[in-house]
Amino acid sequence: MAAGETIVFDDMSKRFGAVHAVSDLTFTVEPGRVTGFLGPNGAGKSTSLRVLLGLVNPSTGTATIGGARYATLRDPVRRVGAALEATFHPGRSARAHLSSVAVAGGIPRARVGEVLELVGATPYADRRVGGYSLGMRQRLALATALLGDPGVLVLDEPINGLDPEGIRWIRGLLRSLAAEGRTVLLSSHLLSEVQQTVDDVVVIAGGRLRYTGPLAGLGTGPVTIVDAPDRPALAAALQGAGFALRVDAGDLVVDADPADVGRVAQAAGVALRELRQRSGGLEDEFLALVGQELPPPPPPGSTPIPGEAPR
Amino acid sequence: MTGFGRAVASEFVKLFSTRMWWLLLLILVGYVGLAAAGIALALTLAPEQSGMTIPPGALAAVVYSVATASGFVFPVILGAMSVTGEVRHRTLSTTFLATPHRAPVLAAKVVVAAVAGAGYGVAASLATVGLGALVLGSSGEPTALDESDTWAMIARMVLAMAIWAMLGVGLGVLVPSQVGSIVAILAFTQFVEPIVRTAAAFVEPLGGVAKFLPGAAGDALVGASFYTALGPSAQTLEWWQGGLVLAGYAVAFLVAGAATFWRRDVT
Repeated sequence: MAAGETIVFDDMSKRFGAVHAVSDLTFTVEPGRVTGFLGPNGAGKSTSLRVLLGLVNPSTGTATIGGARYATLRDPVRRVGAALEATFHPGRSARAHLSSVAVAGGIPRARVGEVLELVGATPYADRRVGGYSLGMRQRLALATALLGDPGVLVLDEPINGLDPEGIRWIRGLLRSLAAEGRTVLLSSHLLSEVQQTVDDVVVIAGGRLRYTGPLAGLGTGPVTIVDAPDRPALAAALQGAGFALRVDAGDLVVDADPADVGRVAQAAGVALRELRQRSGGLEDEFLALVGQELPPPPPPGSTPIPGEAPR
Repeated sequence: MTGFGRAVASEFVKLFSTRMWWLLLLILVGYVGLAAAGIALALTLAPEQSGMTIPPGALAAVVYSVATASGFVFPVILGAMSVTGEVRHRTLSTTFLATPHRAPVLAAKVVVAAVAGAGYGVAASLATVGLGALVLGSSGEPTALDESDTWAMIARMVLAMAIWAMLGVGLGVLVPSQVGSIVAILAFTQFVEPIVRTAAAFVEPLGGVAKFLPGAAGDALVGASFYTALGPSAQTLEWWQGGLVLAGYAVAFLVAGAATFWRRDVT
């Protein structure tokens, strides 16, 4: 196995004509960790990854792996494994596709069978890719990335199209790859999709960096929903303990860990009716960062869209 | 193995792992074999009705050279599709990830196309010489198979098919759209050039230009075709000049494509 290497984006910008796809992107991806590269569709994630992999020339700045541009790597398939679009020639089998990459990358052909086994694609490896589902193609793309047993993995939306069992499987695989000391960078437009997998996150929107750092630093910390039959006494106790609280949609929301909230309530002798950590706190923060909101609901009595059945 | 050797080997794996190479080969062999047999029949049974004046002793060459005169478009398509197929199915990313230096990738495609084109040349020659000689022989016409000139021409046909395939790679990188390149190939080879060359056989000044067209250069390289049989006024280049002109088209297309599409961002 090749050693994990650090990925560095240094003030990288890419323009396509008049369109600024990515602007002044600077961040670092460390080995031994899973890093989520997050942003809404069209944020510039794929463009950034393609610059990193030498497929797209940056307008300014650099993106390097272990200090070198991808195009200058001696045996790129052995150092960096990449899965971009999961597009293949429909008339070629998975095994032939992997063989063509193995031969080009100087990888022994025996490795083809190993990676097919690793991603669970052996049963359909000799069928033409044209008949594959998106999930099967995602597995083949991942097998391609793993072919050279590389220290760095760059995966564009690898979870998209996988079934629940496949999602659980790839999460475990990515965790174990990072635990071996490899650098794992994966993009997604959904935080919830990678939340359980990533250590660090890089958030971009509109081609600009919005956040880079540990996942935990993305939110404002744990958020707890708590309630008691005697709500004023609970509120007083929590405020006395120095917790910030607010009422959100009728719920009493505390910016603290549920265990700490429970301890305060017990010390104050307040019986609780409800105590739970609110899920989606990170998601809220993520959506606020990328400035994405749900479209407003249509005003009541508005004209239905032509052709649509009346409600 | 060097990086270039790996790239060549990978291109061979790609070529032989889809059905296209043998489908094209099958159609090529069937097409030129039947065409050669048909022309041989027409020229031996009713030469006065064929509208062609075949120089004495050149009948066999005209029949055998159908392999390239009608079959050259197949290696062009094969070569072009080695590029346009990757564009259409969005596999160029995978190719460039494995071999980040793009010039060796294009060179590898040219090498593989040349080998495959030569293979098509051998197969097409087998078809036209085999069926053509059968018809000529059974009609009592000379098959010319005992003449060294005939075998030299067959060798030049194989060379011509190899160059046509390399020209196809150049065309593919110049017109990367799969549909666009196939339309361009068919429109030019089946429509534009035949009209210009037919006209040139009768309009003297056109002949000076027409002999430099790719199809005319290819026929000159081989040394025989229907066009040379159309009339003595059809001008042709020497065989080696024809080869150089045809190779010149291939190089020009490849250089132009390498400087434009091949360098572009792969998004």
